[in-house]
Amino acid sequence: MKRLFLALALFITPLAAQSYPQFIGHGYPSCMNCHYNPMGNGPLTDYGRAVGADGIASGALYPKSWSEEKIASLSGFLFRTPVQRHVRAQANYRGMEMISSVGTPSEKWSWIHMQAGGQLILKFLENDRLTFVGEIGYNPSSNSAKASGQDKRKVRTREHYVGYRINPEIGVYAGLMDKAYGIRIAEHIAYSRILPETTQNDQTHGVMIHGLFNGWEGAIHGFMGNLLQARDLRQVGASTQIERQIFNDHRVGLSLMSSKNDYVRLLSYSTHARLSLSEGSAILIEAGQTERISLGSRGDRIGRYALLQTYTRPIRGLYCLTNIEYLKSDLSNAATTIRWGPGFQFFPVQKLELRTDLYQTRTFNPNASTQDGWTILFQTNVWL
Amino acid sequence: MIGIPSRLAIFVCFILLPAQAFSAESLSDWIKAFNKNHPVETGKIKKAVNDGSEARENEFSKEYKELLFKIYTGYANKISTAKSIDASLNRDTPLFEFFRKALGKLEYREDEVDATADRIKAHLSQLEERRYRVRWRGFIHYMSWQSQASLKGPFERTSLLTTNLGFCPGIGASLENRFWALSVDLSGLYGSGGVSAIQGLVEYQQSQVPAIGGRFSLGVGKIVSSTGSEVGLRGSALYVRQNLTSPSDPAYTVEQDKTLSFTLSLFSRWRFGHLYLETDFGRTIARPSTIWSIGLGGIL
Repeated sequence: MKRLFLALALFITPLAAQSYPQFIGHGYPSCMNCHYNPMGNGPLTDYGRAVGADGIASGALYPKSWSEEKIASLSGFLFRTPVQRHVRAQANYRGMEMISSVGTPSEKWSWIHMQAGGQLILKFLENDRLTFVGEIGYNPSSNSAKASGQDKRKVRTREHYVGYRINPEIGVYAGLMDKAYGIRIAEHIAYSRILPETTQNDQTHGVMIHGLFNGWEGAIHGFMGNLLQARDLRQVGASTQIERQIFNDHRVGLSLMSSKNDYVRLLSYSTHARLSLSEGSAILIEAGQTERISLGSRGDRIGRYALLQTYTRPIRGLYCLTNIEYLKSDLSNAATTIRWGPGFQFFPVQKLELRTDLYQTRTFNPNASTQDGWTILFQTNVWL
Repeated sequence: MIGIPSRLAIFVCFILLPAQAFSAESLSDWIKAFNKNHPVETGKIKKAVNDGSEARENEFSKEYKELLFKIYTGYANKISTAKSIDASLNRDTPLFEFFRKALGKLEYREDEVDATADRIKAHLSQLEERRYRVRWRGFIHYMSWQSQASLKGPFERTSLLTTNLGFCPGIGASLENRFWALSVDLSGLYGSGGVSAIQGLVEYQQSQVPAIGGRFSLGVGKIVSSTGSEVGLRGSALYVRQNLTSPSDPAYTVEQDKTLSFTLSLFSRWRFGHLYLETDFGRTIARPSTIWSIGLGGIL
């Protein structure tokens, strides 16, 4: 029965490898351990896929006779062990059932295809020092981008870059990538990603230098906006994110980003911490501020945000999390929003992630008292 | 933790030794033989173990070494059958440790001695993990909750919702082992909240209305990491007094919610040595109200 369930799980469900910043709780403080992009996100390395299969996903559904080595050997593309070292392929799907305005007359259920695409990785030289990473797929733009008419593309590339490690400490990466800023959590609706504009479609072309020395890790990223966007919308600027390892297991860091296009200038800065409490327990904290200056019109504002994400792992494969977010979108406005919610993230077998999140949004406003807003998300993430 | 026995502990155990009733008769016989039949060798080995000095292996007969080994394995068998840490185990463990050291000095059947020591160490560690102990805690929580009221006018009734923020300082106790924790918490509550509503031509608004009360909670949690991270469920009784004033128009009155409510919440706790961070998120039973809190605490 177990074998049958496993076979169904492996071959019916679609899937993209994913590792997250909270995996510092498993002793992986650097994203570079598991990702080709040393700042995280994007395709996983062979090692990262094996960790996902062996250390992250539940082992309960595998036959007892299977060793961890055998399970890890299935972590390659299409469950195969790579036979050559230069080419890697990955495919992934992430979809979500979203129930918004829960318990109100305007309650709405909708299935959202968040991402369905493929990645190709070419790697050369000793220790894969030279890498080419490309991704393309069905990646719908956000509702706000669609509403504003800025971006209606459905097929897009969110990542294509070349990376070269000069030595184990320093690497140079050029192409379309996420901006080096803050904690790169998976929730692109997090205030800590919305305010500084580092959400799912905010990648930029540029050059990033990444360094890793004696407990310090960081990147300096110069960028010219997404060249596939209209010229006037491209955010041109630079960012940096630096982390310091403290007390062996934890990391604290700072980020700074400045950019502008024809309409707006953004200055964001934040501080963060990632705390490892062993066996999968972890705490992520980020607090920051974004100054948004409208060029040529009024509407300047300073927004402040904070994030606290906590994780525990009651059993292998299952993570209980609490997501607590603070937002003051305009410091001159009295209203403050706190979004709070528990969630469960479950990896029943390798290459499959199921996640449930409950978001309760409460607004504190001395001039008005409002009902809490509720949203429930059921996510499926599958990678091959 | 059960650590390396002090010389005093070993001495006391040997004084008590003849009076002990051992579950295995043969162990009792071997102990008697150890104390009475080999006074010279026993004196030497006690001195070597207690002083940490060398023991000349050729000064001890094979028969004597085998006797030590039998006593050692006898204690190992006795300890390995213990289901919990009790007075008997606290007596036997230093003696087991003594004979392990004695055999180590004599370099006798080392592989078997080490394997047995590892097995017993694992067993003792397991017993230690299962042992429940009481921990006292002090904490302060930053909490938000909502309370209901209604504005009653001459023709209609309008619901009022007060959104509150406050602090809850308190104390708690946990009965816990490495895997589970039962906890009880008691805290005071002081905060404030605002409310606004419009009914007809009357606009009702109050802000910074003080709220005072207390919270009593019972929780059960699963400890999920060696650092003591915990996730669990908690039931609470929340008592809050908050007086909303009625509008100046005597035709309108404010009817307030009950002062006592019950909540069920999901909590998590992360420890940093003697300090911890805690979050709590729950719903009020039989009322559409949510409560959350984030807190810092210390183990007293």
